[in-house]
Amino acid sequence: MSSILDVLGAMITGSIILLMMFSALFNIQVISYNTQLQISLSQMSEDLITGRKIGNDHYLGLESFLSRVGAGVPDSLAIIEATSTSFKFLGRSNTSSAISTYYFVQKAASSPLYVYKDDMVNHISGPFWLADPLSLTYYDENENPTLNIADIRSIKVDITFLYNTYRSDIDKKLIKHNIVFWKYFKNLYL
Amino acid sequence: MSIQMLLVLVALVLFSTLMLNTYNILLDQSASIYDNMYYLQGQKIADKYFQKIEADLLGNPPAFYFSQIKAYYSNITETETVNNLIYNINLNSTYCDSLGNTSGAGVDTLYQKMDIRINCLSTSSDTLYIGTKNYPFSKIFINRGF
Repeated sequence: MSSILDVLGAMITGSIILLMMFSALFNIQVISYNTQLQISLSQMSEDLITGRKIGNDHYLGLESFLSRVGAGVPDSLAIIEATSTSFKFLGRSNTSSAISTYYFVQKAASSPLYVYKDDMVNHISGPFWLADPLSLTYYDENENPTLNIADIRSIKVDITFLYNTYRSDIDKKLIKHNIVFWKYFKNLYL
Repeated sequence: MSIQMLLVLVALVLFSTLMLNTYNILLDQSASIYDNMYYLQGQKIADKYFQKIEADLLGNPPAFYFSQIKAYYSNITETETVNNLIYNINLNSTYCDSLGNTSGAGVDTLYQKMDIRINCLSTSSDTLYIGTKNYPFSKIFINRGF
């Protein structure tokens, strides 16, 4: 009888220890996976903002598009639409190119961010799913927030990217990456 | 208590130490990643000021004259709050030569070097320095004649 009790005791103790081990290992896996996602998200965010090169193809970043605001266009015509979730403007890519219309837009709070150029149906960049609504703030020459198109001289872009985490049924949370950058429209200062 | 039980307990203690150490390493890595995100944000903030000064110097006449930029950004401190984190920003402009040397015979009012250093609270509650006094973010501006 005592041997059976010993066996049962050993089984229970062993099971608890094994359960602890597996649980701990699984948690470590989740944390490291989420950490990896956080790194990827930061990298993707930076690629999107500053541009990236895949193979021989160069993909321009949001900053590059924003630097074209008002390039080769009279100041009064440079900005067409400026809201907290959309920004439409005119600009040229280079001195010999035609004037293009650029449009950054998040059409609804649950919609992704798209970037359009001339063709307002087929986007050139996106979709980018955001954890929080896109937040665009415009400033005049004296750094005061403004929505008056004629006064806009710079923009603050506040973006929060997201990834879904490891598994949906446990540790349910979003991996987020918030980044804020500013762009001064130098063409409007000239 | 049998010797087997003691051995099991010892194994448990050793295993727990291993696990704790692994967790510790992982959490350190997470903190390092978040700190890097703050570094990245700090660079964006520094870039904002460089852009602003460049823009202010444009135009005819410019919004700010070259000497006004030098006078205004003379060791001033500003703050910027991003994602509930406060970044303390120190800006300091000094006249320099074309290579950014702030002392020597070549220094005149034709060039000025803007140094930016930023600090904020890191995830481990230490101060995170993004650009330091000896190694700040720097940019040299040239006087266009205004």
